[in-house]
Order: sequence, then structure tokens, then C-alpha cells
Amino acid sequence: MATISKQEQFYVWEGKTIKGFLHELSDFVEETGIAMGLDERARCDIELAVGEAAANSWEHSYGGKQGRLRLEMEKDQEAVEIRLTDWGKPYTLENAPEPEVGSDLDKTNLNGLGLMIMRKAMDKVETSSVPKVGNSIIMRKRLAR
Amino acid sequence: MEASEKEYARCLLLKVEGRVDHDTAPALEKRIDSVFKKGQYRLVVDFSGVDYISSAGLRVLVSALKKARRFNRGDVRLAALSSRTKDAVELVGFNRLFKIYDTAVDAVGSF
Repeated sequence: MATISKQEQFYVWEGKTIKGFLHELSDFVEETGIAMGLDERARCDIELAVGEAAANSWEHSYGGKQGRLRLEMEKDQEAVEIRLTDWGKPYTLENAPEPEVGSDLDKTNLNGLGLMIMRKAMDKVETSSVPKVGNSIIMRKRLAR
Repeated sequence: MEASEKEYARCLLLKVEGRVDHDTAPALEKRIDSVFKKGQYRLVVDFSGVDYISSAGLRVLVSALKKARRFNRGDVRLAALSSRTKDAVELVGFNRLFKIYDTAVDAVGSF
């Protein structure tokens, strides 16, 4: 069971990468987005990006097994910032390939699709890892004016 | 994720319900493969009951499309995408790969 804490415009989800956690994270992002007054488009983009980031942590940091995850959503005057932290094996997305998606199916290569989604859905994506500590992904989405 | 099938004269309609994420995408892949094993390579996937699809789900669709088209002269067509699912599909450019229809009826009729 995840824990959720809320302060004004700062919301936290902490849980484990167990069955159904991605659904739980989606629900948290949607409810938090509504509470922050974000429009449908922003909530959709953030949900997509968080889903991909969390799946990356689960796969690369915890090898698909159970591990601890923390998601923070914070809104300031200009943007929403999302911080996803894990405490697993360090990994980097920096060298991830660019997927190729065109109208030619034979040339379609989907390596790096998750990172592509994160970068297209959000305005800024940064990753960092610390050996023996874990990884964090920080993403920002500018607010619509 | 749940899925139900309906066979038509020229294709099979697979109606998917729920989320298609990294957790549930393998189940969708298994279901599509079981349809292909029956020798049916003309498939409409009805997304009217799907509210979220991740890169894992999108990969399953592309893999299915490749299998259907390459050796079997079939196709995988998408129908009734919700606005969120459509956003995900268009974000990665999959609208260039797949034929997409507003309704399952239109998609089934296209075969």
C-alpha cells in the first residue's frame, strides 16, 4: 500500500514496484493534476511521462522486481516539476537510442520509445544516478498561459 | 486488462478493456498471438474501453502489425481511440503506421 502526502502544491507518492503500481501511480498523477488545476492535456502528458519513467525504474533499476519508488509533484508559478526517485541499480538513459517511426514498417525501430515519449510529453527531462544510492528523473511541464 | 473477440467474415474484432501498460501489455501480446495462431491475420483492435496505453502497449501493436503484414497479407487496424490513447499514438507518430478509424464498425467494414 502506497503512502500519499500532500502539502500545498506539493504532493508525494511512495510505494513499491509491485503488481498494479503503475495503475496506482496513474491515478495519483490524475488526482494531483486535478487538484493543481492542470488542464486535460497537461494531465495526459504528465501521466504518459510518469508511466514511462516509472516503468524504466522498474525495469532498469530493479530488474523487473520489487523496489521502492518515490514520486513528487510540485507546482510553481511557471511549471509542474515531477521527481521520480528509486534506490536500485544505477542506470542511464543518456545513451538511449532514438526510435525510428515512419510510414515504412520495415524501417521502424522502437528502441528508446519510452524516453522519446517522456521528452515529447514534457518540456525538460533530466536523469541522474548515484552509485550505491539510486536514480532520479526530473521532468518539468510548463503551465499553459 | 480484459479482451473479447468477435469473428466477422473478413476480420476478427478484438475489444480491449482497461489499461495497456508495462504490466498488462504481455497479456495483450499473448491474446493477439493466439488470434494469429488460429490463422486470422486481419485484426481490428477496438480501443473504446482503453483509457491508457504506454510504450509497452505500443510496441505490442507494432509487433502485431509486422507479423500480420509481412508474411500473411493481413493487417492490424485500430478503432475508437479515446482522446488520451489517441494522444499517445500521435505523440510517437504511430498514426503514420496504422490505419485508424473512429468506430469499430468503420474499421471492420474497411477490410
